[in-house]
Amino acid sequence: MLASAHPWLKRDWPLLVCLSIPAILAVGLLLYMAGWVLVMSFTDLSLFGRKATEWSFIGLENYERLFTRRGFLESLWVTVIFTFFSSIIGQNILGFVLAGTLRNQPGLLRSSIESAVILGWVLPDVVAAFLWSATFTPNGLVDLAILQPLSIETRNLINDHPLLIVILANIWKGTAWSYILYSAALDSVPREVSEAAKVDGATPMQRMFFITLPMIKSHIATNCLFITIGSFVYFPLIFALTGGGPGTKTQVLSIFVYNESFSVGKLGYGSAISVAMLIIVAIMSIFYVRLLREPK
Amino acid sequence: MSGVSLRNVRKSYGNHEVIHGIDLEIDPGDFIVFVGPSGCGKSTLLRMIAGLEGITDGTISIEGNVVNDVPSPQRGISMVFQSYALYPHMTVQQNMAFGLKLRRTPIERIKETVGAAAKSLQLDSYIDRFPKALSGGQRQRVAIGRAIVREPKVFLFDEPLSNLDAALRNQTRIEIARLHRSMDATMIYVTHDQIEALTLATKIAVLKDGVLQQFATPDEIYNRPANVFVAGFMGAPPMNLIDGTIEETADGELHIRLARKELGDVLIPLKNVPEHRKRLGQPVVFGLRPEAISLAAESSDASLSKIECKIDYVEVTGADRITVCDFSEGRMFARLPAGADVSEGDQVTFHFNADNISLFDKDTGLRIESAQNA
Repeated sequence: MLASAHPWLKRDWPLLVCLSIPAILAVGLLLYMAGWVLVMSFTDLSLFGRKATEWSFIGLENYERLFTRRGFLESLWVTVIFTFFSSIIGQNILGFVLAGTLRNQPGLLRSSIESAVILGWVLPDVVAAFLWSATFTPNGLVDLAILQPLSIETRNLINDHPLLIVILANIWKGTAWSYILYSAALDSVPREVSEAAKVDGATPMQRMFFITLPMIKSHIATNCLFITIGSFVYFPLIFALTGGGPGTKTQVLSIFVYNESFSVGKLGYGSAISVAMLIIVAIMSIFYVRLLREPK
Repeated sequence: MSGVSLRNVRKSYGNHEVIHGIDLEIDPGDFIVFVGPSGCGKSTLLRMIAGLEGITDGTISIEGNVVNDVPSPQRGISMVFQSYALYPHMTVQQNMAFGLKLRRTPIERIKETVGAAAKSLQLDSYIDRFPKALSGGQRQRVAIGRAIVREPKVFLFDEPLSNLDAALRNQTRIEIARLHRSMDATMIYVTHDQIEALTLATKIAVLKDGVLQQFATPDEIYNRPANVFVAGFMGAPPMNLIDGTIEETADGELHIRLARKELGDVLIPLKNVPEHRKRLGQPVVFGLRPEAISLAAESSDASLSKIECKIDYVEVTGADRITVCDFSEGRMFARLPAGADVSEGDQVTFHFNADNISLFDKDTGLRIESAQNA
């Protein structure tokens, strides 16, 4: 590494070391944390009780539990549904459609929709959860403004369709990111290229599928990388809105980890779930990073 | 039937009109160049013909059919853009075939057409490369190839050479001229480069501020500019434009007395025609091409007009020496042969043939027809 370094760095060892400290700290901390979780995942460490102090190594038992006990696979499935529909389908497509349709719109319309979208993004999760809860609970906004005037029976919508509401909330909360990223991406497609396609006879749909989308492929991959990982490990909004319930209907992996580790108190098992999540996220990242590669 | 016809074409953005009623009749097979300074509306006009900009008023017809509301692909045009506008994710082959594919041309026919175009543009060895692996000149040729394969009635070029370096520009210019000769299509070409305009065009349309200044052959544009703007815009260095007044001598002959005292008391004989006589005493603008000027020698023909001036700057271009005389406002250029013995600070006498001048009305800026070289 030193051989390829800038000449003045080679001459100045103390400076090189000083400049490396943040990197060393960051990598060291990461390895320490990951190592700690990995080690714990092979133990029966508890948050409280006897095993909080007298824990022992139990081999792969925690990992066996992932597949033999109820909980993990169900949560994984809920997480996959949640992530797929709220990020890949929801945020991704809605963000693209908004970016595509708003970029040629006059100022006021554009800025008001933009503000609304970004407001959802900057609102603290707990506040957002309260708003969604106030909208969909019995005697909430939907109930008072729509159901009661139409004499439809009052119902608890969050109870009836918890996963749907959580997915919608996450789409609303996260679309701004995709919108901003795709707005920038669409600006990177030169107007003349799109016009050349127009002269070549491409309809707006053909221009989108044959020209625009392939040209912003790397932006799409970057966006999907961020939003899938973001949604896959997302915790606060869901926890504040449903707490993972009713039952385990909205218990995504992050809530499952939290419950197992801090409610049930099985820190060892929680660590194993975390390691599993880490591996899944790593696999997804590799997939997207491969998509990001330019064709030779 | 005309190739392309523009009648009273106007374009406004809101209340701001940028094209003020342009009329043009372009014959089939002509090579028309729109030329003018930045912001004169030449690109907008081209984009209106292409169907990329709407028309506020007037009509545009291609081969006799009004195309005002016809979408671009159905107008029978191809366009080459300044930035080449190649599809970066497609190979050369795919770039050229894209339009044909959209028109559901049979695969065999696409291969044949694209192959032939690639060959004629010497792109056959790059056919599977992506645009980013090509040089600027090659990219430009792909853009031209993409335009050729669609066999359009009208080719539109929007400053296609301005992103190339000088050597490549000359070379590509010749290729475009050759392309025009080999294809039987009408070409409309936008440029701000007057050399491109003069060398390529069969007819040039000079535009300024959205108004057509002159539409004529390169020869006519150069030798008989319709107004002061065209005179000053076409030619490098531009035509010298010097104020003067038409006066009458005691024996009834006409001449122009130049207002620039730096040039000495210059009298340029004028033909005694009514067109000149009726402007007696009126201010005019006298126009003289820099290349019509030569250094006066002892043996000079006495019938030539003379002006004196002090040379402030000499520009050596290789083939010529361009001398510059600065006035309090404006300047005068003379294009002399490379061997001319002039240097900065010299007081020299130039002469020129008074039959070779242009004359413009001072107020309207319009050419006074029946001027000397008419």
